[in-house]
Amino acid sequence: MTSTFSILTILWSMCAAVCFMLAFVHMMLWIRGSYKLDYLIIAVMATAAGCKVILEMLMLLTSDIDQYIYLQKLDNISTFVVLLSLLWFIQVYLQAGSRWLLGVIVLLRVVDLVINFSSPGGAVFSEITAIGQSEAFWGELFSHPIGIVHPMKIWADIASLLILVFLAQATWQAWRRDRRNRAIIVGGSSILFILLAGIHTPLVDIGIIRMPYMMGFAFLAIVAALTYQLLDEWRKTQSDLRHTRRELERLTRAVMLGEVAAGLAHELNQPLSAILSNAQAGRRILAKKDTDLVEIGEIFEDIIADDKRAGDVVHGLRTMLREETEESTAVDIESAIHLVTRILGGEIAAHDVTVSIDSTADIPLARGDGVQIQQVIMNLIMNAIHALDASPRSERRIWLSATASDNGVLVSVRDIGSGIDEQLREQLFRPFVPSQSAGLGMGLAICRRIVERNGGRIWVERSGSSGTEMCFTLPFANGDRHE
Amino acid sequence: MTTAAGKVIVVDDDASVRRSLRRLLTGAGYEVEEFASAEEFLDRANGEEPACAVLDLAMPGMDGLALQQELVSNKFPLGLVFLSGHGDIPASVAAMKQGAVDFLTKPVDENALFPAVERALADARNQVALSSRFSSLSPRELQVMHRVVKGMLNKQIAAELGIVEKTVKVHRAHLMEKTGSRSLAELVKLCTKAGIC
Repeated sequence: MTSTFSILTILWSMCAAVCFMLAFVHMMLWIRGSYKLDYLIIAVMATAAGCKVILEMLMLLTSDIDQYIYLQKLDNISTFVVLLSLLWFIQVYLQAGSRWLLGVIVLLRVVDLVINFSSPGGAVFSEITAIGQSEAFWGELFSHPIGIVHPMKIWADIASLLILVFLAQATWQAWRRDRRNRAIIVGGSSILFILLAGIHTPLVDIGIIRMPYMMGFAFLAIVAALTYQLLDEWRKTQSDLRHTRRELERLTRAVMLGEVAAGLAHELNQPLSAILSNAQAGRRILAKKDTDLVEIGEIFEDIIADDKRAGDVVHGLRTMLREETEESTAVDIESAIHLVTRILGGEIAAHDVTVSIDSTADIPLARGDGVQIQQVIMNLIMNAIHALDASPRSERRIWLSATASDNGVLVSVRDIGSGIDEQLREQLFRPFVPSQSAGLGMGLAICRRIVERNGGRIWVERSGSSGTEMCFTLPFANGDRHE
Repeated sequence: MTTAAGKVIVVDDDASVRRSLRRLLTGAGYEVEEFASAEEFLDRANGEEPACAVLDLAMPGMDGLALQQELVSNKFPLGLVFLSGHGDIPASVAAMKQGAVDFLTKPVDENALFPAVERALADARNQVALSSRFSSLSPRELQVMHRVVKGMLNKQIAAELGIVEKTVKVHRAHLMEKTGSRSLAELVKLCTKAGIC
């Protein structure tokens, strides 16, 4: 102990810390990722590798023979765990490797473990005569054992060789099955580092090279490589999922469009019809001798109003079809509600539903993407309309309201329909939970995503035999609370 | 263009469409009455005057087809013209089967609307004329007519009604004259048109 701070201590404990951190990460992934075995195995492996690094460090620092033997026995256990979990992982993850070879390796390692505890000097040495001190290349002294190598140690070395064969075979199989990435990173790194450790450690054992044991580092490298591969795949899966979700959103929109297309045609035909008849009536009036100019003026007023009405319908259609681009602006919720009820006019009429819009005067503007918010409102109204299908015609009512609340602008859609099943309510906002006989069950999931992305919240206020009330909030545009 | 006077009833839930049709039809010389819904029309219709009814197919509450059924069963003297937002084939078939004069698609051109209205008015007037022909028949003549139309022989009718065959022949001559039919085939046609049998 010449230097005041020991590089050996720092390096080895850092390495152990990384091992334990990776173990923790994989444990969390295992718990949160629906208990996928891959993560658990790596968590076990990383934990064992961390223990091994600490034990190696203690062995390098001790000068007491008995303590050294005791540490080496523990070290042997951690090696056992690391190697077995590595092989297990290869089997599970690459789905390759010979089973009988695996059996032989496990048998040999178990024998080694038995020798480790039955022989007084452990499995590596039958007897340790002294603890030597050597100088590492950075000048720090470290301990190493001097003794007679155990005659049975040969079997542990054979096991190491077989492990290499097993890994090579599994990697080759995975490669041939076109799992190239997995083969290279998982198989390749395992072979490389096991090979390095497998050559380095015996040479240190028999004293040919005087260097600290570094098997723990090799194990850490393997764990890191496996982690990289798993996280890379996880990331790819996530981006695939995101892509699928976007596709579904578009699809749902298309399905909904189909549902309202007939209504939209009706909505467009009404103003067009009025414009044509008005124009033809105007022409007729002008052809007469005593032209009634007041009447002509009224006709123009009506034509202008109807043209705007048709324009609104087309605009609504276009905004619905538009690709998703988020633009956060100040949104007037009340006019959004009116626009949506106009777009859905045909659908509402076809289902004989009466819609009442109730909003307090001067609701502050909300912040969000106008089109997306319209989509949410449209979805909620469509759900309410369908919920009313079983009700008698005279009771088909929907109340829409927009008010200012503590959490922003609060929009509520209430119907007196059949209500939502108790069991469904919990998972209502998850994808593919159809609350109605028709539909993909994506509507509310999309609503939640949109609302949350816009900084709001959506929930079922109440639902029962007397109907359902769905609410969502959006932040105020000016960021302040409304008085 | 025709400027023949006549009454046209417009039933459409859309106020703007209603107004424009009123202007167009008034401009062409028709007398126009507007209703915002089928129910409103049924409440206020008296069914005395022959008229053309222009009905919107899709309306909240009672739709055009349901209104048509109601009108047919009440024997209102109306010729019906349907307007629909989009060419709905099943609905148009149903409407025509029930005796509608025409089924037009919105937006409707005056060149299509006016002839249809004219035909509907003619149809309504025919209905009135027909029913007035039958209304002058005595109860006994009606009884005889029902049986004649069914294809019964004078002898059979006499036996069924408990009168002599000669009386049947007299009733038969009267009813042929009053309805203005010159043959049995014509009478059957008239009865079918008037919906009597």
